[in-house]
Amino acid sequence: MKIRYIPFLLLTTVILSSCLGDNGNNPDPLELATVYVSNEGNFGDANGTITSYDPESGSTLKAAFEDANGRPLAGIMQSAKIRGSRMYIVLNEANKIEVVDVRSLESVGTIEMSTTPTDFEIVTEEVGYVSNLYDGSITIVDLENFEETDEERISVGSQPRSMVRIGNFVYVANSGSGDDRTVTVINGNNDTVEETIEVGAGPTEIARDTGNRLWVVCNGKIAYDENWERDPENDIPGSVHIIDGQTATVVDSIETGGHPTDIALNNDGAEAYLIDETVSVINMNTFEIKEDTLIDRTFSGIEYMPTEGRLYVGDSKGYSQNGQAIIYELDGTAIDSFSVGIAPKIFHFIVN
Amino acid sequence: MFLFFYQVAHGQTIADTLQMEEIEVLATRILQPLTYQPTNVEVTDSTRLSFLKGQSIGEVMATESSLFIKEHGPGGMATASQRGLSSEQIQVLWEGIPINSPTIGQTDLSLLPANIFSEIQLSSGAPSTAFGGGNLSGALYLRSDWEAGKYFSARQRMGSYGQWQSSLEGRYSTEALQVSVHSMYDYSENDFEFYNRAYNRTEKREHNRSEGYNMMASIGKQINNGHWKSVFWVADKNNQIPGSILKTDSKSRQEDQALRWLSTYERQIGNAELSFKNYLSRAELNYFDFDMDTRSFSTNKRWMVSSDLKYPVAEQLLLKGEISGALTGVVSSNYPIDKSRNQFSLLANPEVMLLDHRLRIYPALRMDAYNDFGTVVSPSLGVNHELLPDKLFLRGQLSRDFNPPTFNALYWGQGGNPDLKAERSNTGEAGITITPEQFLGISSIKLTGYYSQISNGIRWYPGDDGIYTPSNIEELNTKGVEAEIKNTFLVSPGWQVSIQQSGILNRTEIMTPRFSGDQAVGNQLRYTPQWKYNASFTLQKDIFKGLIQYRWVSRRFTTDTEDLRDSLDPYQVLDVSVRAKKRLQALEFTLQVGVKNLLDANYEIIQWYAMPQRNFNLSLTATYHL
Repeated sequence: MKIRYIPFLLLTTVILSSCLGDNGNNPDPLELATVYVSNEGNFGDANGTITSYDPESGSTLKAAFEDANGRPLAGIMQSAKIRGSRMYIVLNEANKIEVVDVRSLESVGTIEMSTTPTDFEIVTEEVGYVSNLYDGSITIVDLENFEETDEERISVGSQPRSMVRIGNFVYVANSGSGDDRTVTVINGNNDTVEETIEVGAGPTEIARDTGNRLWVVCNGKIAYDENWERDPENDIPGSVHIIDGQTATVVDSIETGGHPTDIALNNDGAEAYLIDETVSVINMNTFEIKEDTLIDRTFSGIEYMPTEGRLYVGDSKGYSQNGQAIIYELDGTAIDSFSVGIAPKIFHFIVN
Repeated sequence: MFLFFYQVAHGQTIADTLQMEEIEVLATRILQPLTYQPTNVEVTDSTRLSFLKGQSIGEVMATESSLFIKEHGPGGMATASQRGLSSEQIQVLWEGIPINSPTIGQTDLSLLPANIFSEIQLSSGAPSTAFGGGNLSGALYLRSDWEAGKYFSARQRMGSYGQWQSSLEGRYSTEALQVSVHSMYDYSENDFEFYNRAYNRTEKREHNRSEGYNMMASIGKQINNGHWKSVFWVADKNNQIPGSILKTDSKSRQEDQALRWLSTYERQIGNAELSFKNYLSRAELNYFDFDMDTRSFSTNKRWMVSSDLKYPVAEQLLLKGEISGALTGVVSSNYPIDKSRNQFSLLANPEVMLLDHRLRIYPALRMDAYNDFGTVVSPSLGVNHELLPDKLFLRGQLSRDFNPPTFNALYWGQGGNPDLKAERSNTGEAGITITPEQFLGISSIKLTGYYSQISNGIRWYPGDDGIYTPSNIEELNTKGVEAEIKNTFLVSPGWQVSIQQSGILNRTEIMTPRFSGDQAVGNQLRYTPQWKYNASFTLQKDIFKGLIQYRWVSRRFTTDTEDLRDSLDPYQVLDVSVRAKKRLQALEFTLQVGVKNLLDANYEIIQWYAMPQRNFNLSLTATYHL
């Protein structure tokens, strides 16, 4: 890209991050240009994809990364985050992070990991963190040379998943398959653990609102007895814990019951939309469940699109056929849909 | 192709009808020559197998049969798919004993070296009445009944990417006593180069070493009016598991060990022929993945006894039947407690010859009672009509077959479903066999069409808690055509040429939606090629013999929706082997050179599992004839 275009792009391009942990600030209502849908893919086939959807024409590019780079994404999608002009696509099986230009999806670099990555967070322009599924740690990566650094991994809790940075603090959700109930706070200045915050069982996803509060979705625990038979009596119900991102303290929590998996934040409307067997609505001011069932279906991913004031949800049709993205009005009325890849998980909205 | 060779050679045609009839067909349990069978049976005989020593049964079947072998590359798993169905739905038999793993319901054909078997028979459409459940698509029958002989042989083979095989075999037979030993040690680094399309670069396969040992020993003895035989087979394989080509740091490995012991006793009492079988086996499958802290151990033990009776009531009627019982036990770190299965089976499968033996009818009825999921009754009716004597045969079969749920499906700790029922299928097929005596060198033409509906198909799906659980959810149908043509010529002076071609067309589809909005309905099943074509060309003169094998497999879709984007390209593979055999008094030397994948094709049979490009092998065999 020619340097002279950069200031222009910086001024005119607003990238809305949908996904959990992206900046979450609802931008001015500009025109939605592209929707990226990150699709997990099938475990056995490692066929995660990014679908690009043009809302104006209704057309989709089912495997937009492959179209842009002449090679498949190749891996099981764990997360995708937009930071600045880049998208960081985290894939396991291949255990790599594909770094692409957010507009063109052309490859900028590939970070090949020696661990099984689950999420990425940028710390500085030169340094990023990668959470590792199996060894309860964070790997520090060099974003200039696209490689792991020699720095010692940072120990966190069990099976770290989602990460979000606020200021110097990087918050890490330690899911532990329901056996861990902590969020680790890492000081990005010195790569040390600053604090460990107790939340509900199985913290999996983190979303950040405009007030720098973190909405931690705790999946709870699905219990099995010593014979691996289901043991519902020992299930731990899920919850949502709200953390003040500036002070690293728990503000409040909501016992949701069930086993919630994802959340989308509507800052202007002060509503959070939670996938927990159905889609329920949480009042972001009172921290109460406002509506148990906005949409009486479950989905594999959800995001709020502020420009349109609509919800985008991912409907997975299993792991061997394409899923569907469905667009809902905030009253729960489905208004449109489009085909996406296998097991849609994360939405990103690019506006002009 | 056969026309071309006819014009070049215009030699003497050999009608191998007689040769075909000499083959003892075992895969269908119908004691009739090939041409009188109700279904198609493909035979890879000992002569052919002698050329393919050093390969696994998976590799042999990929090039020699209508099976689609799902190979994960050298050192990786290879399983068979027949008529579009899964590897759990084809029964693999060794001397009539089902050897599919009771835990996973399939056989890894990469673990079976071809050189310990004397013959392979593949029967598409062999019904459950023949050998019990597990064969919705048919049966793969492995024989180890060696011909009489007195010799000792040592063989050394080496090849690309660190292949190293040493084998010893010996046979000693008299009228009263038969002893044979076949053994093989194999080692390979399997560190072949491949093109990694995920990164657009050439790489070398790592952590892919395999090492194994197989030994099969048998002793047979004439006892009064009977014959007793005992075969002992031990197998031990240790494989590093590299995973897909996307993985670069796998530390997984797998151990497969098996001990099998089969004893048979056959005796003539008047006109009746009685046989008894006693089979014991113990197989271990252990898997270790240190990254995921996985240590999976499973051991299965099996004891099976059977008694078989054949009694010719009249020239037109042969009464046959079998009574059998089996105990299977599995100890697995993946099950909460040890599990077992008891099975009792009764079979009546008479053979009826009418119209001066030109119309043969094969009715059969089988009952299998299992202690864990109930009783299954399987009927079948086969027919063969010799329309023109020795030249034209019409055949067909109707059957209702079943496939019992595997131990893993029933009892897997997290997700096993003890309420599973057996998979069932209704199959109809019809075929024609032509054996012209002198026409363009054609010695046989076979054409078969089939249609099968499968119900209660078992499929694993993730539940709300993310745990995969099997259920009887799948309803599918499979239909297709199988064709085979063989040409054989004798060309002066002393050249012998034979050509064998076969092709399959298969369509396998999900019939009913498995969930709301299921897009799989009406689409070709995943990893199921619609077309496959095999051709082989054998040329022999004096001490030299050459074999060229070619196969082409059509596109396979990796998802349910036949989306070209989610598919693997068609592939073609050409293998060439040349052998020279020279005898010096009692010593015989055989030198064989082979090139596999001569066209240097880049291909994947299973997504992200690279197959080796052009590679070479060389073997030298020394045989001392006693």
